[in-house]
Amino acid sequence: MQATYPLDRPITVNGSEKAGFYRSYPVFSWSWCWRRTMIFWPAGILFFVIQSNFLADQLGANRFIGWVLLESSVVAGLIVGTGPVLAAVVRRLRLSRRRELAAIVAALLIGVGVSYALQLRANNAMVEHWPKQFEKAVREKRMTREAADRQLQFYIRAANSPLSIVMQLLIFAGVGGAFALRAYLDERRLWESELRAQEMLALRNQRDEADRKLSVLQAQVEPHFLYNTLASVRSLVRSDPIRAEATIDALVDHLRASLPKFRDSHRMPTTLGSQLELCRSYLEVMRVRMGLRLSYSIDVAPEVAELSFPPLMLVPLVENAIKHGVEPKVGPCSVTIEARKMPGDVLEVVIKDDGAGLKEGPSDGVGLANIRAQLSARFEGRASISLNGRDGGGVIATLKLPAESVPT
Amino acid sequence: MKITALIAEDEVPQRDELRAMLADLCPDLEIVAVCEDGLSALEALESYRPQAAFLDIRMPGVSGLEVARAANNQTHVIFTTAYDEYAIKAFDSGAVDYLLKPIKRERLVLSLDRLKERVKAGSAQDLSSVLSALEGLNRVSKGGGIKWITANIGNTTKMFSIDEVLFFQAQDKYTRVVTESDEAIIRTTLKELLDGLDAEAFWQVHRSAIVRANAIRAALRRDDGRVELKIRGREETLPVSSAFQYRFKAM
Repeated sequence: MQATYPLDRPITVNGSEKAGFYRSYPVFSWSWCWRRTMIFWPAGILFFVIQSNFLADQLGANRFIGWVLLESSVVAGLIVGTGPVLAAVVRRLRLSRRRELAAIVAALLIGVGVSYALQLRANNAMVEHWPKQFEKAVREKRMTREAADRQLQFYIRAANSPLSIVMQLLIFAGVGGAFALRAYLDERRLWESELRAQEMLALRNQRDEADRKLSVLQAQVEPHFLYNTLASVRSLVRSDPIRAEATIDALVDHLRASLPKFRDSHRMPTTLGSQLELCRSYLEVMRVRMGLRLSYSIDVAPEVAELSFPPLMLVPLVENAIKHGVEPKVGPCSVTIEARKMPGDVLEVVIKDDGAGLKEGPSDGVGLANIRAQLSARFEGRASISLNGRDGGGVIATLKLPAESVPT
Repeated sequence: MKITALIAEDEVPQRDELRAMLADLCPDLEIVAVCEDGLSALEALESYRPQAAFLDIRMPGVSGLEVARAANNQTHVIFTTAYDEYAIKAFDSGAVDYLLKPIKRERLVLSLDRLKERVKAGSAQDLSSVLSALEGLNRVSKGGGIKWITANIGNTTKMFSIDEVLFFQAQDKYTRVVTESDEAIIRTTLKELLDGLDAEAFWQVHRSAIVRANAIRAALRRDDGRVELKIRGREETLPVSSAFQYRFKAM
């Protein structure tokens, strides 16, 4: 794939700009190149001015400071800039990946080559100067001739030793931008992972949007529940108007919680709290209808209720508890919902009933299977649902999912 | 002509209202028993042998369908139901009468007229085929219908998703269910399971074994020609009978 990411913008990591004055820009881009030069060039000039001063002491050759500055600027500029500038030119050509890498390596080698050529020139100048220097020392009786010859041979050997050449090449490579190659090679990986992160973010936003649409669809109150409740109300109207009223009130609360609030539905994320409110109003209708045979409790701390929670999951589980647990059982029953935040940012929601319990053997249970499928699609193995029988009858359903706060 | 009748309905107000409406619309109807759950309906059926029964389908204990089965051939059944799409389709055959809740007066009048005609005509008709159809709709019937397996493990009962099951193995009249983390014995036979399992996902490989296809790690051919399956995450191997070996020809 062609390098298509922008060269003129800082690289972002996890959405924020990469740290580092020039290193926040793509390696070998213009922005990277000139920002880097702004640091390395003055440093190089300073180094050469000091070195020239030191050499002047040693060689006893004082030069006009303007010349020293000019020469230092040119030399430092060539050493610092040749490789990076050529590499930046290469990057602008937008070659294929392998060609670009080869061309950049070539550019950096040219930079090192230029630097080394300059170094050789300086070396030669010194090697020419040293004999005169030692001659002078011998003349002024500061050194014996043997000592001066030994010292001179040592200087020349040192200047031409392989170790010193390697050291010089390494320094030129470093100053000339070769060490940025690693960052250059890493950059694509970094950029691609950032792109993936952005895609993930987009997907998450899409999912949240879908949630909001789902919560609108949630208006689909289970028909059996609705008709049965209306049948109940109809029967009560004449015989027990007060209870009929209570049933209608509970039903109205449930419908209010279930039916979409169109005006702000597109901004309303689904929280555990909003889902629990649906459960509460549903259970209240059932409690009034069942002649108070049913009791229920919901125990969730306010900060837990604020956590994000997918729609169409909790109410079906509570409906399940009523349909398979409470309705088939004779006598009083209770349903309990508890939620808490567990270590490791896990949200655990537990729905307990003391109804008819689980029957051994195979069953369909499309609703439950849907919840399971939805969990695995949405949280990719980070969420689970388990259903177990309870001692003394009843079922305990446990939902575990990542504790995520609502996107703002 | 007096007609004896039974009412079974778990919600008190609806029960009272139905009784009041029946008394109002058909004074000839003698309500011999009013029951609040399936079990008491069965008992009342036994002791009063009424000519008609108004049965709610969803009831605590024993469902209205089961009560109707007990009442078959001796009692005319009229079901009451709030909303059951599948059931209503089955009812439409006309073999059995049903009332949708909330029950409307006019509709109840129609049902009572029909009831009187049927009582006049003689004995109650055979509902067993209609009931089987309804119960079938209630339970797992279509291929791939099994989504969960409920089994006892030690002292607890657990529901496994069918996706967790690695294989089923017949053991006498029972079946051993093996998942990645648990195993249990259930009283369902392998044959019954086979009817409800998705044939694409679960393969029968032996008279005594059904394996989830993507849980098979390898098929090993022994020197004597027998084929055995290695299952993901399990030490044991499962034998493949020759009739099913064609599945592993390519492996």
